[in-house]
Amino acid sequence: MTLRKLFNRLFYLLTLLAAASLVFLTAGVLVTLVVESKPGFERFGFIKFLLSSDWNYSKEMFGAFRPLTGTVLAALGAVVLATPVALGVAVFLTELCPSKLKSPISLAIELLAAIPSIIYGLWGLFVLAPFLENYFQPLMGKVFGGLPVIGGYFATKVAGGLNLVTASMVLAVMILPFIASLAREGFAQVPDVLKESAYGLGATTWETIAAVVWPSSQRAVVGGIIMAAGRALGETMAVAYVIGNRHGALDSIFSPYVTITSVIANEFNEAGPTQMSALFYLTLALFLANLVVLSLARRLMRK
Amino acid sequence: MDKLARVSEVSQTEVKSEINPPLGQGLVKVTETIAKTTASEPLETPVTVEVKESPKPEKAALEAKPQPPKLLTIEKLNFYFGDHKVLKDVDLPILENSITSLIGPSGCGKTTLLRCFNRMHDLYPNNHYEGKIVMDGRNILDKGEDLIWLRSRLGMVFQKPTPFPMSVYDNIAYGLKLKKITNKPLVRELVEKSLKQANLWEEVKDRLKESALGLSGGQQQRLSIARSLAVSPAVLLFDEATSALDPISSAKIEEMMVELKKEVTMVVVTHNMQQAARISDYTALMWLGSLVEYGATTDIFTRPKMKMTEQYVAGNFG
Repeated sequence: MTLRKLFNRLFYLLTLLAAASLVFLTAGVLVTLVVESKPGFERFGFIKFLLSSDWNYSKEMFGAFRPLTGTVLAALGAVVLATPVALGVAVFLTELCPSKLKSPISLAIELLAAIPSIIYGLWGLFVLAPFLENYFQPLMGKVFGGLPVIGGYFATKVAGGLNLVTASMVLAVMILPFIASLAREGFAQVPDVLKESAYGLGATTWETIAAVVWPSSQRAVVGGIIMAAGRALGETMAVAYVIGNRHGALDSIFSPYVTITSVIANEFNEAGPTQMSALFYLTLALFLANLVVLSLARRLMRK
Repeated sequence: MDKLARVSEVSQTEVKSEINPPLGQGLVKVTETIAKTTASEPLETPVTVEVKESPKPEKAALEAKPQPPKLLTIEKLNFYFGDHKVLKDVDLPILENSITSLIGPSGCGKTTLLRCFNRMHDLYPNNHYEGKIVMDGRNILDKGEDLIWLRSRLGMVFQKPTPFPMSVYDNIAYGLKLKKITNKPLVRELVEKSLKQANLWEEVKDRLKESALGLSGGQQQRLSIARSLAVSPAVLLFDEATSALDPISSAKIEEMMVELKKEVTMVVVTHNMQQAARISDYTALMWLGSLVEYGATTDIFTRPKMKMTEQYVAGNFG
């Protein structure tokens, strides 16, 4: 074997090693989670753990229902709030933006993504939460509070601005740049000539987007939104600051609540053995939820 | 470059003068001008004189046919990408119910010129027009021109077929929807009519609800043409519309274009010299952003006035 061929072989092995290390890491995480969750699993079972809203330190009874719903609802709220704005940004950048504005706006989006999440958490705690508490929550209470059945869900039942809505809003700001850049990539992949033929028939920008750009990029964009949801599911620090961290029933969208990651961040240090195992068990649940979400996104984006 | 443009004006005058023999006196002057303007060019003395002196009688009779009216008139058109001037003083008429071919080597500006007609350049930044393209007495290059309306009057067919990601039927109905034509029987009728005009009806009439993306390349291209036809444009602009297709698909489209002359005026950018000769009534040769020669296709291919044209159509450069 010549030296060149030998080197080539070595090169192949090196890259293979790099790729394999990732797989080993992920497998390691999964194994640790499974091993550490075992006591919790033996004590609470699977379905019972998922559906139980217990979080009792003295009785050592723990259930995933509240952290899990908190995680899903906060992420869902963030996606709902961020998607329209992000799509607007992406459409503006790809279709309408004067070329001089393009790079400042793109830079602003990228910088937004580069801000550490603890900064968002502090902003949520000191700026957004007081504002929502003083202006937004009373307003929503007044406007929707009178509705039958669902009215109560718009009332502020626990004083303060740290709650599920605040967490969703902070998360929305955090995932906005992510959705915007993925959507932009999706839109940019639509061939110019396809857009030109819609314009060539006398379509307006809006009509061109609706007829050609959106149907051709839909999958990529929806995949991007789901990936952003995956990020929101796992986001810890910012959420831990603003969610309120209360293991109580979610009786209003303005009630303090918990998410899986906020519970871990707050309780890991002082947890007893059973609680510790419950926390690992929670993490395993989040890991699996993320696996489902990401594979869904990948499937959508690949087609 | 002005010289070349002037020559093109002259050659138009000449076409006219052939129709009216009394103007024949002008010929001497015209040929002189050509000789003068080309004298500084590296090309040999133009072949014009010899061509002029012995026109065959039956050819002359053929050319005596009255010319159709001008649908579009390009006057002193300059076009810039940024500071770069890519079209230089182009003067060219587009005559109604005929096919005009734009030929010339790659980068000569023929596609750029075509995209001026429906203001496609306006979708992109950093370019501007000077001069006029007159249609119905209006300069369509005016800033205030309604581009939505303009583009529905001048349809465009691209090199690659561009089926929209929807059914065959919806593809054709799309332009009608833009024009707020929603009466179902009428839409159906127009869809069928334009598919028939594009020689596609027989092949797709049983699969109108299927996705247009499943059609073959040639069918997709005819679909793109049918879609443009559905909104009854005055002009159809073809940007190398058959160059990505196999010869049989190309032939079908060429055949269709000749039939379509009754209803629509066509401007065709093509690299295929035989195609230009086969289907077009008038041909314009462009070179480096200028118009070299414009005339009846038979003249351009058999009796060009410019040495450059003679060389280009013979395949000696480009």
